[in-house]
Amino acid sequence: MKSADPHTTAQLWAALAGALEQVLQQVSHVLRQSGTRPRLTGELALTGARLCQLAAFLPADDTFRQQIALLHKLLPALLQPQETSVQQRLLVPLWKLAQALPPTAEHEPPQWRSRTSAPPGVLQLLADWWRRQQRNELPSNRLALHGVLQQLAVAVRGGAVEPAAVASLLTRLQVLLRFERDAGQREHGNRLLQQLAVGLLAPDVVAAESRMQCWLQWWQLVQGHSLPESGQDNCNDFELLQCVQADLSNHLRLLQTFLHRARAAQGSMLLSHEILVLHYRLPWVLEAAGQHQLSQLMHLWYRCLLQHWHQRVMLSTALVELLADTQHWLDITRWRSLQYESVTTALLQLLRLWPASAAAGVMTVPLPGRSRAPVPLAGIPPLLAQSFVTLNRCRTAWFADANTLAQHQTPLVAELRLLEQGAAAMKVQAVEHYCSLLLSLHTALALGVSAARFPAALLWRAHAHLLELLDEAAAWQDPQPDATLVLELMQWQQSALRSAVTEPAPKALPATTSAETLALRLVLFVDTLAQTVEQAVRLCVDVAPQLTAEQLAACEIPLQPLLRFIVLQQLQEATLRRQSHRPAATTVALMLAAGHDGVQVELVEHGCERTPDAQALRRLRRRLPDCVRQLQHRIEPAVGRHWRCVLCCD
Amino acid sequence: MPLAIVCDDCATQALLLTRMLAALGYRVQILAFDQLTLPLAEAPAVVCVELFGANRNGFKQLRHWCRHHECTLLLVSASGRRTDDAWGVLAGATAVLQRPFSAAQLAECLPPVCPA
Repeated sequence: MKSADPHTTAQLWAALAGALEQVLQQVSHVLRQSGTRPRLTGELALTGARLCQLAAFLPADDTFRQQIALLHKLLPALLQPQETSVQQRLLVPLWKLAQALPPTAEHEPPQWRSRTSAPPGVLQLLADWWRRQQRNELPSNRLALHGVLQQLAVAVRGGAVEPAAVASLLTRLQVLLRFERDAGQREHGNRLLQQLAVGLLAPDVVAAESRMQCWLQWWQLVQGHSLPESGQDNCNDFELLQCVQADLSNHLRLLQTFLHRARAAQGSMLLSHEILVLHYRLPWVLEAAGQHQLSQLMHLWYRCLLQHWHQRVMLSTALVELLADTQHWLDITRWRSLQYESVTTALLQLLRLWPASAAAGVMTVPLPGRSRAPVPLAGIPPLLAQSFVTLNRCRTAWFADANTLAQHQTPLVAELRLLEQGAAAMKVQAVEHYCSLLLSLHTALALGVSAARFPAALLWRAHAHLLELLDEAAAWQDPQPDATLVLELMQWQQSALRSAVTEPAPKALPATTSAETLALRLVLFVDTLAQTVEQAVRLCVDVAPQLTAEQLAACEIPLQPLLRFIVLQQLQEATLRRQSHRPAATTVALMLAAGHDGVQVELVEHGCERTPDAQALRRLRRRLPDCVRQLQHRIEPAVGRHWRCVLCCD
Repeated sequence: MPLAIVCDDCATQALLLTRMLAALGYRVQILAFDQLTLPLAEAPAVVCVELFGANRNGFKQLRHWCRHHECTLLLVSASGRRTDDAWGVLAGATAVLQRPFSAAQLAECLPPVCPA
């Protein structure tokens, strides 16, 4: 270099500047993933090598040459997945490189070539960055900050962002903020980062205006504008602060007891409702004390715990430790000394420990009483919350006798069916099973039980208890049906069916000749079998009035093999039903009608959409008596499995 | 002055609600629900029930109040769920207030207080 003439030196510096600009552009492409990674990294390696070769013309002790050598070593690290740490490592030499350029050398700003793979805005930004770098106006981290912010903005425009994805992007922001030279701006950046996290994951707790203000301030920070000092939140209301202090002390006392148990459980403990409720209140207590920022962060803690509660996810050891570590946020005396950066670190850790969204595979479920269009899972709770008007209005008098109940039974049963399906969809199994039991009771009652045994008090207790369970489910408690009442209801149902079947018929005809008796006997048959195989199957029988007593008498025995087959098939259906958020209990509708060649039988297994296997079908056909003819089955989507056959009663 | 009852075991929230109600002309008592024996000797004009509490279910409390007193029943929720509005009304609430709410929003849900 010493022997080179000034013209050659200027040419070398221009070539170095050109190569460096290319490196920066390609680094930007890699970080923004604006092309296939192998191609981008290949191009970057080539340009990096060229830069290194050019720098070799500089004297060995030249700082610029040393920095380029260091940069050349770091470039392959871009291939590693931990982009954040790469950025961190890469930005330092890049920044030093810019510092090392001779101040007297007058370089032309890069002449960016038009590339379709990079948006012009980014090129302009890089060119601007280059100019300002040369004037030493812009810390080098701001370009990367801008890139991450743009990624965040794109992700937000695409819809809800998973906490893990937010954590990944915000972690990069936090790392880049460490390069901010001004401590005040760095602190402000961390504060903005926390606001951004809350705005993204709990937008309902931040006013739209504040969310926009947050984004605006981020862009201002990236552009290098000074942000105004944030005012310290103070509360001078002594009486209120005393209440806050009392609530926080109570919170910490209960939390410490819980943490002690959770630590002992070593990651195998579920969240308790008590701790969930404590975190439900906490943001509002902090808000009252003027701690808006902490209050918003506590909203995130609450949401995270709520996800654990809903999905029944065990509390990991890391989350328990984080809960313990962040207790000092609730110490009034330490509020002034809280470090924004450490709070941000804890917040990002919380986002990383957030459970993934549940039921991603099953997005919709069919519900009875609606159109055939299935309902999205997210839409089920609002739908259920406003659908149970009859259930909420039911009174003791409705259950006084069979006639009174019959007046209300249709809407009541319709709501119970909706509840059964809705509870299954939301996997509130206790409510679902209890509801299935009540539906079985209503089925039995519809078949006619003599007035002397009408269980008025029991039915009222059963329905009142259902409301209690619904209140608990609506308040995120864990509804548990009263085991004694459940047993009592099951015993009543069984005994009522048995006694009804063995009762002498009111007319002097054989027992199996009336439609009611046939229905009772078939229901009892299915019920007993279902209990034996521990499956819930409800049989609803509809007999056409045209059928003669002789025809009815001939129906019971031939139908039993088909009903047995259907009940046993439920063993295989159970898992499928659970996976598709459908109730464990199956409703089987049996319709008997008069046909020209015998009794037309139609059976519908609601919610079963699986074709039975051929071998099982062959076995069934062998077992059916000769009088059962033309057995056919088909699947009707969103309804279930249909069976048809004809019983020849000659 | 008409009596307003606040059922909330969170001291801070209860105090804030008490202040709002007092400013609207009510005589306010903060009561722990498990210490109550209903019906009360003096019928309240307004009862404010917080949805969640320690071993407490706001919906069940609403039904309990409904059985014993005919008054304005407010359910206060901070869950952010719209489902609370529908289920709260079915459980007996006159209105459901979602936090944060202003004094004006509270006043809209309450019967007017006649000046003494």
